Amino acid sequence: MAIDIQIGDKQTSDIHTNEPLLNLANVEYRVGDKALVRPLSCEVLAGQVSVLLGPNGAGKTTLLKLASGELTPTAGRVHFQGRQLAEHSLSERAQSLAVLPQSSPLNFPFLSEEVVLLGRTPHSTGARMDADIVNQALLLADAEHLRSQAYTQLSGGEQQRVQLARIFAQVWQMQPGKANLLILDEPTSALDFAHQRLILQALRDKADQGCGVLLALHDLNLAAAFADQVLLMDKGVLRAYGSVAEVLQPPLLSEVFGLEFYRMDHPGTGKPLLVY
Amino acid sequence: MRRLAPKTLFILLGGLLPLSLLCGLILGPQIILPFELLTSGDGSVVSDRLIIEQIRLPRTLMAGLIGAALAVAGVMMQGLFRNPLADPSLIGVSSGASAGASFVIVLGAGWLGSHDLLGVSAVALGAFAGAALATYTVYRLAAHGSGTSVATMLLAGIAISALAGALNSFFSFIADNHMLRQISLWQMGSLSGVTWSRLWFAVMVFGCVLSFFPRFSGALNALLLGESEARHLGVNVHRLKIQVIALVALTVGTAVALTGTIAFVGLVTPHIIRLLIGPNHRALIPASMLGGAILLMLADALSRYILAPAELPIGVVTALLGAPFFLSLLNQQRKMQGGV
Repeated sequence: MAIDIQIGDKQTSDIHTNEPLLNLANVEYRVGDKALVRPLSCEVLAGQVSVLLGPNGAGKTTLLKLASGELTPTAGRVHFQGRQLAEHSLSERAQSLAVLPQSSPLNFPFLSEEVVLLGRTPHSTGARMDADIVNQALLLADAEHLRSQAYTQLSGGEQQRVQLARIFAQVWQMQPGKANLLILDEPTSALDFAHQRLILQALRDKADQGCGVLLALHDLNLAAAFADQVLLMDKGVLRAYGSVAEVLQPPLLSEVFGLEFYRMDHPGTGKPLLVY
Repeated sequence: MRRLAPKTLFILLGGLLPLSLLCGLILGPQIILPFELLTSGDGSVVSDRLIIEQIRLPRTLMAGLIGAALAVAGVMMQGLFRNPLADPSLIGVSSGASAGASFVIVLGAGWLGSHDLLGVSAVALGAFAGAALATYTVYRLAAHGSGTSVATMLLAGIAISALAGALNSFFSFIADNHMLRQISLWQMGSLSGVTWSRLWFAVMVFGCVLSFFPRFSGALNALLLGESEARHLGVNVHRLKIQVIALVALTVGTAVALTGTIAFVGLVTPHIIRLLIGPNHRALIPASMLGGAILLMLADALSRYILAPAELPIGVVTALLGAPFFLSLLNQQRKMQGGV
């Protein structure tokens, strides 16, 4: 398997309108008197990869659930494609917003290709086109060879790639005039190095084609290599929000993660490289 | 294990269905070969013709309908709870239906009459209410923010079953002889009382209800991925649950009212079909209907044949076949993932 190491430079996409694809305004989420996400505002633009970083329990998953509409904020508003998220019907939203949760509890022996085909549930594009999209999505997530194996028999990393292919299949095409959004919660947690790169590159390519991508990661260097903007959370607070160069500052990271960080240039790509 | 193409299975089941119907007509205390009826016309044939027309045919057709209904109810529950061990009887639906039906018989039989169509539909209504109440209670207890907890569901099912069982005993205790006979008749699960009028009632109810189930297949497939995943695929999970639970309660309630509690068809049939063609509901739902029909028609024929001229209650036959299968299934699952 050839891995494309080339790192996608930020390209300004034509789809880029002034309006953000996803807009969170003063969003807050509390359970009882505990605030899991303190009031914060941020935007995800079409054509960009936005990476959410932070230690365990920082509120990353909660923020992603607020962004995908799975949780309703206790205060503030979430707008998607210019309309409030709650105003989209479920099926309408599913046509342009795909979500990969941290873990998926599928314990029925679907074949991998059947799992990916489930991604086409919101669409009615016909069996032939769906089969075609499933093929390409499987290739994109390097899961083509797993297609006729039972999902329940795959390893954790293989299952994650099949689920990724499902997400890709769900938003394979663009609705006219509407950009797609991918929200992924630690999509690389079970993947080896080569596949981490492969998936991030695939997401980078999706963004370059006009999608918005919002994902939570733990690997600062993957974020540095592929992100357009970085959101850094700690204890429910959005500590920093901006470009890679702005956010990935050793003093700030040391404070948030409680570790000494050093920053240097990657000898191959010239991108920032963080070590601790 | 290699899978069968759904088309192959449908051809197979389509061939088995008329065969098991034929079995149901031939087997019994007395073996009657239907083609003898066509060739000769003497006296003994007339009574044979009556047995076939008035007893075995409606009864076998009813067995097919009930089998299809119970099997598809099992498929729906397993899909809804995302667990292959869910079954209407395991989570208290059947016992809830029993208690509801007993209640109606004891309190209502006095002024409703007994065996006519009206009586059947009133008992069915009671069984439906009992089934719905039991399902709803179990579901509410097991449901929490992120989905339904299977352990809680099974425990709640046990508790509800026990409660319904106690109510059942209580109703049997206060019932008079006629009611008691009626209660115990369908509690054992019996197809012996089937008449053409009951059959038409069943055809009407199940004809309506069963035609609804296939339209849920896409949504149930998505639901197997997880509740939030299904929502992100555009499925209205809350509405789906309410609809499926109501339809399953109606199906199981009617089946219990007509023929009593018949165990394990709803659990075993979907399993066998799933082993053969995989979990895709588009094929699983219709194939389980066919499979359940075949299974119960054969079980009914066996129940009449094994101890002839006596007749085993069909619930005994299905439990004798189903329980070992269920145990081996548990064992398999334990080996595969070290516990449910």
